[in-house]
Amino acid sequence: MRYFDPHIHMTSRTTDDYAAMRQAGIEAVIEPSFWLGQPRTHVGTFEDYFRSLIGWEPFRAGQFGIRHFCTLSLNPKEANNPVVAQGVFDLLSIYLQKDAVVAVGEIGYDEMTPDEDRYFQLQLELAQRFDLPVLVHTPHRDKKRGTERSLALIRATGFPEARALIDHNTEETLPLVLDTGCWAGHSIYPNTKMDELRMVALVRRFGTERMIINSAADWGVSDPLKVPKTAEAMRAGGIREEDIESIVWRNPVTFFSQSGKLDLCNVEPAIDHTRLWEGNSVLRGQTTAPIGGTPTAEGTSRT
Amino acid sequence: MIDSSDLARFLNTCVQGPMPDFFHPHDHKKNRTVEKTWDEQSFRESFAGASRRFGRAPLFLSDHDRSELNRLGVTWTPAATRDELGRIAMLVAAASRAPQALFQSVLRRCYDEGDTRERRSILRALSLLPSAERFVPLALEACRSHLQPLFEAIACDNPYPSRYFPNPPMNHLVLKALSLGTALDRIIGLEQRMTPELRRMAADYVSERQAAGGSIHPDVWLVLRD
Repeated sequence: MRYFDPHIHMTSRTTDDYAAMRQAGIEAVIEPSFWLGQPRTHVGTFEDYFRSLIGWEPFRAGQFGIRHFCTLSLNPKEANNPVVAQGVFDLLSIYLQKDAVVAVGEIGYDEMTPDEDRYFQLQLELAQRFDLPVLVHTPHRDKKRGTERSLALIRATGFPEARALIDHNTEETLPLVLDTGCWAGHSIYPNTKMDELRMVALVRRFGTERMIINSAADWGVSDPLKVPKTAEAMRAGGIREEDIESIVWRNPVTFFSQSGKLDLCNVEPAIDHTRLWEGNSVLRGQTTAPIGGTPTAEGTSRT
Repeated sequence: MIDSSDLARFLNTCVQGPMPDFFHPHDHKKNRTVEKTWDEQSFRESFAGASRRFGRAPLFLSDHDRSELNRLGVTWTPAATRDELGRIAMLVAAASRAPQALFQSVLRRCYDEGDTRERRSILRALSLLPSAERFVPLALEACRSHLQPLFEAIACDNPYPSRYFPNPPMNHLVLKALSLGTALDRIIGLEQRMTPELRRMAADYVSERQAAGGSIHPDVWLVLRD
């Protein structure tokens, strides 16, 4: 079975993770732009980060046979920083038009401040303008209220619910989301968010429609293999293969294909054909770690 | 010297997709060249969207196309894919029509904010642009990249480095090609750029690899032979 992790922060992960992900059958990822753990203080820092999400990181992923896409935004936390907020928002018009950008996100609330509210709305409008779906972060504190307010804002702005993915759902927020036309994402993340067994229970209760899972793996203690591990837990829980495949592949593909830019026809790394014959990339003069654990001959091939 | 207008006209015919209208050199209805004001924002957006417009399929040039390119002074394969050619066509057309200083700053901006496909196409266009030597700093930056497609876009099947690079970065380009396993015969004009220092670096590369028990790029002997 092939897997899609539609919410994972690969910038903060090592090549060990990429190798393990490939080995586990993850073939595509989406990396949302987010906050780095401490505040940025220059608009230029964001711009270089955006550039890495459309350039370096997809290349890095490609070395392990994984297709990498991204979402871009002014994230909820940093919407509160007047030094950068408007400048970052102004960058989005050009960067949202890049091929690799398949949604506006993560947007939404962190503490539900007026600034967060303003930029949430502005970015919903921006997504409309560029014909992109949105990835909505729900707060980790006061989550139920944050989810209600997010759904209300989406409704009030007239943003099409089918193009909104509300993420980090829990047992309490999922019914609220499914009552609308929005999609429901779940981050299987140790300690602070959802876990595999709870996810299995939710799937049993609510089915597979509009259900998506991800690892949200980042710079914290997190696990980039949570999507295949949750699939395994679903199997063990008696959920049918085709239902599992809906959740871990078809659903995220369907949702993000609404961008018109989810190019999965070639799931091999985004290496163009003119360099295929030179063999695998050698980034610093040494051979790379073999993809998927298969040993390769020493040196590069020149067929 | 490559004539930008002639080349722009020819590339427009090669490109199988609708070109942004402000790059058409003639207004057929009025039978005169239409002067358009330069719209940087539109250019940047069109440039970004070119992969979707032209498609990413491999580019196959006919014998006629190749001989026409040769006639225009383009003796190498300018692009690998359709969107690459489309972007190159956009740049060549813009260079022939926009004020030079403005063109240079827009090219730099498109490069900086570009994804890998956009950057590749810029690097492959450099030799086709007027006063191409002014882009050496950008080309050197690409050579430093760890992103292999960017390095290859400037180093392989591209006459730019052998024409415009000073010796030290040219030598490093060759050394990097050896490290990456890139075939040296893809470096256009390498024969004209052999120097004692390059041979010294290649010999040191061989001894380093031998000491490490590692494989040695078979093409290194092209550099080391007398």
